[in-house]
Amino acid sequence: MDESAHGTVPAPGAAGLPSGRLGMWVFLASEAATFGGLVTIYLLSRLRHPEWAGPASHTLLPVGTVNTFLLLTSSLTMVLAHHGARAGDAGAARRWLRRTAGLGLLFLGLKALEYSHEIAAGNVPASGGFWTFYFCLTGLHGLHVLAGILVLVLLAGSRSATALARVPPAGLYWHFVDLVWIFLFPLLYVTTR
Amino acid sequence: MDTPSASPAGLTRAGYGAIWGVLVFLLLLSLVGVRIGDPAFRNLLVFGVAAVKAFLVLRYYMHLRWEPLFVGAILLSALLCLAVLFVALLPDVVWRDGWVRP
Repeated sequence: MDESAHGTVPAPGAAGLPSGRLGMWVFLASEAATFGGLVTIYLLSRLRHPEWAGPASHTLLPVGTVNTFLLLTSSLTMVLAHHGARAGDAGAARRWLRRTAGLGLLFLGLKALEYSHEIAAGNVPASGGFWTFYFCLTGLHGLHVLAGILVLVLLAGSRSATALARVPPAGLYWHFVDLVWIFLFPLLYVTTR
Repeated sequence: MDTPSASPAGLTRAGYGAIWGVLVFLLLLSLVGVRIGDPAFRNLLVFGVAAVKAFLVLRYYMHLRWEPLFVGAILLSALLCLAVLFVALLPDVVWRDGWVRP
């Protein structure tokens, strides 16, 4: 075993990696199935309904682009928080966690503006098949972003000795949220033109 | 219990920044897809770019490169299930009108 600034490093579990990280990977696989299932059904429905191209072209590409940039940048700040935590620099880790949460809040703020614009234009979940999927996919993603922000804020504010140890699995979750958006962006904003 | 030093080795801060630069470039590249008139080529470009971005995030930000191989297998199993779902449902979507209902 190694001695580190944080005490003795425990031996990995039987799987060869710490249980917290393994558990997060398994959870993310289930989340991939959840989002992937929705995307799969959306793709099949689009094939069935070519007339959805009309309403689909009204999504706000500039907002989607900025939101994609925000999430990509938040992935960078998150991995830098992980880097700081791994080096035992709690201050740096907390700073990068707060920046990640801030970028996530900006994302949600823009999403809220986008929703209000669409609703004002009469595009609501009941407006038709495309908008049902749009609000379902982006809404579910937004809830995941919100949950991630709450975790990051709690971690950044914690002075517990175990807080730094929770940064890597929290990072995995946050990067997954970014991964989902990496596919939602072209699906709902770019290929709809 | 996990400790932060038990997490996998990764890149340097500059390395992570370089990956971010590539991701942003790929984002801009996908916007070029908006200008492409041919839907098939546009979809290929845009989703191809998304796949590369996802690969970079998985490999370097999520540190999949440094994880045991079976972690990738766990993720792959979820994707395989989705592929089966898509293929299994495709005939029902595409040929629904042609089915004889009892």
